[in-house]
Amino acid sequence: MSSNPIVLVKDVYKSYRYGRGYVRALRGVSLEVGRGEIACLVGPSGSGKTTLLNIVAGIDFPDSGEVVVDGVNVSKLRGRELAQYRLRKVGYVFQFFNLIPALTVWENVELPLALAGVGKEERARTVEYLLEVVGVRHLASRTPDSLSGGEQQRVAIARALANKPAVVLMDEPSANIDVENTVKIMELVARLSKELGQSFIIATHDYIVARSCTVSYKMRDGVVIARFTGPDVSKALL
Amino acid sequence: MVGVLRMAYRNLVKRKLRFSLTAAGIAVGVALILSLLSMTATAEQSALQSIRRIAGYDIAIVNSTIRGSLTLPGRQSTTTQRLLSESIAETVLAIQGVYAVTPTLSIRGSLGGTYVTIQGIDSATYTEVVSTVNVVEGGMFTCSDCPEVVVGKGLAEELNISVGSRLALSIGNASREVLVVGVFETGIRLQEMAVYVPLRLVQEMSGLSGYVTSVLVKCVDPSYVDSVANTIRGTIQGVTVVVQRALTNLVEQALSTLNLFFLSIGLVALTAGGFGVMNTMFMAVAERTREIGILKSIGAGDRFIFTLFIAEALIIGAVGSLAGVGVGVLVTQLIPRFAVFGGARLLPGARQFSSVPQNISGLTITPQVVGTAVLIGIAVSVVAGLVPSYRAARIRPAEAIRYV
Ligand SMILES: Nc1ncnc2c1ncn2[C@@H]1O[C@H](COP(=O)(O)OP(=O)(O)OP(=O)(O)O)[C@@H](O)[C@H]1O
Ligand SMILES: [Mg+2]
Repeated sequence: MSSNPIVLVKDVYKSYRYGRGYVRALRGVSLEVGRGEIACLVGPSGSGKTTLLNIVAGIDFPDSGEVVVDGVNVSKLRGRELAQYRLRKVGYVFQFFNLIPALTVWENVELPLALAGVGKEERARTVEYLLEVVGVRHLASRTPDSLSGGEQQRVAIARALANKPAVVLMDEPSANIDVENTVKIMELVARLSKELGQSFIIATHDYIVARSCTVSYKMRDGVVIARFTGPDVSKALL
Repeated sequence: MVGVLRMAYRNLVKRKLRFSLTAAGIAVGVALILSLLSMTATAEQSALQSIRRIAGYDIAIVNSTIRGSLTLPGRQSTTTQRLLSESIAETVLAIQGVYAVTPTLSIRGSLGGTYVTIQGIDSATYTEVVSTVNVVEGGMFTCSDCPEVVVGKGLAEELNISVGSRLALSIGNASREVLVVGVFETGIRLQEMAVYVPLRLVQEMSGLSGYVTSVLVKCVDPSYVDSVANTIRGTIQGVTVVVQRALTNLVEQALSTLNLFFLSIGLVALTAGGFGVMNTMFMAVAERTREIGILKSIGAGDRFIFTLFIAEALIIGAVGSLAGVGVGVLVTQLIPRFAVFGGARLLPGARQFSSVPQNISGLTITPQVVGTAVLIGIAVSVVAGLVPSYRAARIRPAEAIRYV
């Protein structure tokens, strides 16, 4: 494994209050993702995949343990620093309803750049490039509600890439799209990883997604029970 | 940047009906405030106008000593006037804040055999000071000692004379044939039983050269009235200074109480509108919980979310206020058809409005009234949006994105 990981998750615990008791979502998860790696989180429903992604994304917080992304210790961040972390270090692609309905495709991708204070001209150049990369340049002036699930997913990826994040997080990217589109999305992910050295963490149940990963973690009941690499990655599904 | 205002606006127009109804709530309050405020503004204006119509000057200076009956030199006693030296006018004109000064000599006499009040005036300065001399026929005389007069409409009707008539004017033993050059109207019949005569002529006929009965003063603007009055009291002995403004103040005070009362009715209506905005904003925050979660996940700070929602409240307030102004203007144009404002009609002997110089055809809507109404409308809406916007800003993204 790489000596200088982009994402380091160390012994993370997380439980939720539920009714009178607690749900233990994560029970000591550790993993590392290197530069350009596509790491998959595979496991049954409720095994803690989304919880782990949220913690890496800086929108949820571990009870104990450590998360370091690109040298930044996420659990120590508060307020404005946290917003800046979400803006610059990670890109998050949700399972569905990713885009802001009041904004066009172009504006959705432009939003994180504007929030980061990027100048108008550079924003225009970046948005155009990103829409080109994910193959939705022709949809720039459309609104999200007029797009197919696959198209929305691509725009969301473009938006996640906007501020050149250290890692892109994807939660079940194939859940709302057909096989053909899943294949295309994963080809895009593989290309971005190869050409730009972009790192990914992808939570999935899907074989088509899992086989494109460079490393897969099999999770159950809030812990990683196995790790697969190379041609074995899809074995995490078994 | 994708403007926050534009984003807020697009979110609003997605729910057109809700947006319009909420804005309508604000509009009602603003329209109410606007029409009530302009009603009192108009009442105030017409009351002040009435006062001005009776006397257009700010300060009157008269003699304060009572000397009983005054014997005119070489003539029989014809009057019991208290006199002032005409030179006082020069002194007063030099005071800071004085716009114009006019001496008048008011004396009893007869015109064509009828006893009348004779107002000896200097036409040039008199019309400057008493701005409401309303000559409806002919014109004001422009000379200072020629035998020309302007008679009140009431007097003209009584004597059956008009412009061009020649008749005898008598003061004491002196008599002179004068030419009627104009007829004036005040709207108050009693005041119209008088005749304006050039000051020098009156002084000459009465043998009172260099004397007047009052000196009327107009200030640059009403704010100078008090200081000018005090200066006169301090520099000229033996005079009484009558400030017209005391009456004006009284009217203004009464009307400001009325104003406050009306304003509070409008504010009650606006408060209801404000709750409407709050309700709409809470609904918007609840509906867009997931969207807020996504915005925060991609790096939008609390302040961005707060601004986004407060901008919506601001737009609702602005649109509602402007609509309210429109409705308010319409209402204020309709009100005068059903109600009558101004005291003139209540005074016995008063003439119809049509003959009053500044005719009131609609309620006055001043820019201040519009500005106040719009600002209050926007403020109410923004204040109502504060709590919902704060809630939106504090939403925790991890929970929000689980929300469908
Ligand atoms: N906010 C919360 N409150 C209470 N329980 C929660 C909360 N978030 C997650 N959980 C619980 O934590 C556990 C892990 O949930 P998580 O969403 O991470 O699973 P997952 O692996 O993503 O599942 P799926 O494949 O169905 O998406 C589940 O038992 C879930 O019910
Ligand atoms: Mg999940």
